Amino acid sequence: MELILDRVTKQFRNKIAVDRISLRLHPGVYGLLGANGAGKTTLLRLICGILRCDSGTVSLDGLDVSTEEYRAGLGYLPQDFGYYPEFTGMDFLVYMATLKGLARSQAGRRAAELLELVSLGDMGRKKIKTYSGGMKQRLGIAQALLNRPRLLILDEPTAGLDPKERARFRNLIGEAGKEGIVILSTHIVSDIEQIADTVLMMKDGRLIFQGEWQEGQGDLEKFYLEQFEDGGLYQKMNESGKESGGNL
Amino acid sequence: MDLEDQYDKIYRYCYFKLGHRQMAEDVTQETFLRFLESRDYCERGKKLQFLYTIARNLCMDAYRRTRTEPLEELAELADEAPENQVLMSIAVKTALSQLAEEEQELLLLRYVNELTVSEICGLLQVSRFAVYRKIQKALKRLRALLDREDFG
Amino acid sequence: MDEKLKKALRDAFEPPAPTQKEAFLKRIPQPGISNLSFVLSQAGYIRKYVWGISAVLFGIAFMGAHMFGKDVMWGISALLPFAAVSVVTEQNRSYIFLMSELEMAARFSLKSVVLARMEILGIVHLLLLLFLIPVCARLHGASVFQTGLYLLVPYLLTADAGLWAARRTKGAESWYACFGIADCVSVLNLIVQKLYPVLFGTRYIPAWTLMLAAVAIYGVKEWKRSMNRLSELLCV
Repeated sequence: MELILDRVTKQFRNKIAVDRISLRLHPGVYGLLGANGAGKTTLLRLICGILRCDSGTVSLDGLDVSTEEYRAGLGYLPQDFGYYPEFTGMDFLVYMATLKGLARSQAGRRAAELLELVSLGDMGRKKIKTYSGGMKQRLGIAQALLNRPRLLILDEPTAGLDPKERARFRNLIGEAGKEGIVILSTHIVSDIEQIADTVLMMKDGRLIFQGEWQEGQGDLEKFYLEQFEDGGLYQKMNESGKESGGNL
Repeated sequence: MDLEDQYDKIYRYCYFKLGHRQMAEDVTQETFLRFLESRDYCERGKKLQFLYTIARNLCMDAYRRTRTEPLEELAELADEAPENQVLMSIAVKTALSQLAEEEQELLLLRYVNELTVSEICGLLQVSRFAVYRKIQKALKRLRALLDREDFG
Repeated sequence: MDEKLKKALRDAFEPPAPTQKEAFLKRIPQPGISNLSFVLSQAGYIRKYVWGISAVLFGIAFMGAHMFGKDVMWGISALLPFAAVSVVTEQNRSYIFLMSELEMAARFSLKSVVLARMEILGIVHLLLLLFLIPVCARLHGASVFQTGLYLLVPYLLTADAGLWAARRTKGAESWYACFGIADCVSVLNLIVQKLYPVLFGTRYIPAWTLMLAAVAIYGVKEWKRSMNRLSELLCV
């Protein structure tokens, strides 16, 4: 299974949010690291097909991002999401399940399964209004997993989770990453160190680093910060005028 | 048709036929793959029958090993189920093993996997009357065996 | 076959847990839901007040046929704008409640959801109008075509203005804007009926027809633009 981004670009008014990014991704967990405003959310939205690329293509095993089949295998957790006010946790999951194309009977069953999986089993019947931030986040993760996605995109998924929830979340992601592609973006470096197999670093819309990061390779945070100082990758790239996507 | 739900049922059926977990799973998956590839199944109402037909044929082709299941497995249920339920389950299991394989298969299809009588007819290629009669006979024998144990 | 025996049979045939089930289910294409089932399932998610307004209109027309006589038509044409606008506000619920990003990324994207709801409401309202027009015509003594004009023009006018407003406003504002428009058209309609009844005379039919054509064409354009907005996230 392969996700291919080919010189994807997106521009807003006079700012280039994503600048000619090319990627080839295989099953596993990818951590997308970058400061706020680096273009992470835009890139993820392009991969989800909710923003259209100004140029370049996104495809999964030959399926273009604009097709329904592509989206059928997609699970997405946006950074911010709301909910229809009268919905309970269960209502929400069933609604999203129908949007993802699950039949009625399947929808109910999957919703119940996933509520258990994210430990919201008994909260399912309560209105989302009553949920804490962490609970809402877990509900969001549950929704992303409804259709057993091959491609799981998570935008700042661990925000608002306590350490125990984070640990549980890591296990879920690890499972998903065995057979599918998981891309999660965050600005918290320690999350990436523990969850991701491969690290992708973005700055100003460009990809400045793509590579594996194992424990024992040193402090990722330090490495990350170094890249923006003199002599770092960012400067090197600008100087040589190379296109983004350079591997280390 | 709910594939996930049917997976469990077909797997249960295959395990009954083959007595081997890995083999049962392989056959289950092969069944679904063939089912999805085929274009002939579109006739409504016969989908389930077609699915089971594939499973049955594949099981017959596969190598068959005898089952060896220790009764101790059922002891795990003791934590969750009321005691008389567990005892009954053990009794039923023992009684079942004394029935003919055909009778066991019918009971599985009709009462556990909940197929309709028409579907079973289509699967086994016998008349409704014959199916009905055989199921009744199997039930009667089962109950007789259980009565001997003072259950049922 | 009692439950206990059934449960015992179930246990007797229970196989050891399968290990490859999840991985397999992930790999195979799930048949899922058909398009028609999807559209119908959306009917359940349309807000109740939308059905409420349509039901009220239907009720009035029905009763009017027996009880109210000529004046029922004015009541109906006053209420129709609200029916029109309720359809428009359906479109906006996703934006108001920040659900749009989630809905867009789903297999049946936001566009399909809204289209499905529009289809259902559209068909219902069409049936409603088809029923109302002859009824009003009979009561009012005017021809079916004429009555059709007098009912459709305010309806479409409100719908157009509503779509236009909905694209330019966000969140709860859209709702106020839409219902405000419905109020205006309704009141305007009543005023014209009371003060300038001559405008409903046969002499002005060509003018009405032209207006109908205008609002219809404009409506299609506005509708297309609104639909485009739904397929891509524009408010970043």
